[in-house]
Amino acid sequence: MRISLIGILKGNFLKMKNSLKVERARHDMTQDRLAELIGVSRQTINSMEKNKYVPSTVLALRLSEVFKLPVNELFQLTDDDKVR
Amino acid sequence: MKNLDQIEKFLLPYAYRKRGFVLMGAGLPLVFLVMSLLVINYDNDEVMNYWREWSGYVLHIPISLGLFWILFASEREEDEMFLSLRLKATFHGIRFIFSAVLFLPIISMISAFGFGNELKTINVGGNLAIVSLLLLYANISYWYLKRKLFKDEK
Repeated sequence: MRISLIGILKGNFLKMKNSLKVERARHDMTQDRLAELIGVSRQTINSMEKNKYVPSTVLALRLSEVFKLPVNELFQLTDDDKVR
Repeated sequence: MKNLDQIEKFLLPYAYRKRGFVLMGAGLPLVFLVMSLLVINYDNDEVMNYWREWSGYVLHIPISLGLFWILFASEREEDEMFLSLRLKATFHGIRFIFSAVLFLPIISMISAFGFGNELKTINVGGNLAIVSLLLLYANISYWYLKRKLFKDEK
């Protein structure tokens, strides 16, 4: 995993892709409804969909429960972060 | 979320955000007033003595308290993302204060060796001023991080 100093200073050294938006659309669900289901704010859902916020394990597990998918299908590591 | 609930217990209710702004609204004009008086009457010992004696109570306590309430009052919908932003902002504040405190003796040395002034520690208003500055920077960082996160939401 490559972590740049500028990245750390900017606070964006954690990168992860996710398919939340696709899954939400597939389940015909609004951000508000999903937020309500997993007990967070709508802004958090929006930030996660835009890959600006990496959720906690608890939140990731809750999302996997809602979409009935394994966590690693919802969230994927970027190439830089993969185990070599 | 149980673990999050534990942390949220330490946060103040949302209403404290407004109270913090009210307190700041009263505290900040006082800062400007006293600073203006100081600049005008710098050589006046009476004013300087008054400043030394009362500055902490008159200025830093309402400002620190106001900033603390603003930073640690929960959001309308508090969750782990806001908690992590708040934590990140607090670390930004600590880092800024640490650099600033290290920077003061350097300024002092430049002033002494470069311009021939007396070598002395710059007085910035004591511990309360440091706390106010830390909270101010943490608040600014928090608002900046929040804005950066939500700016393209619409």
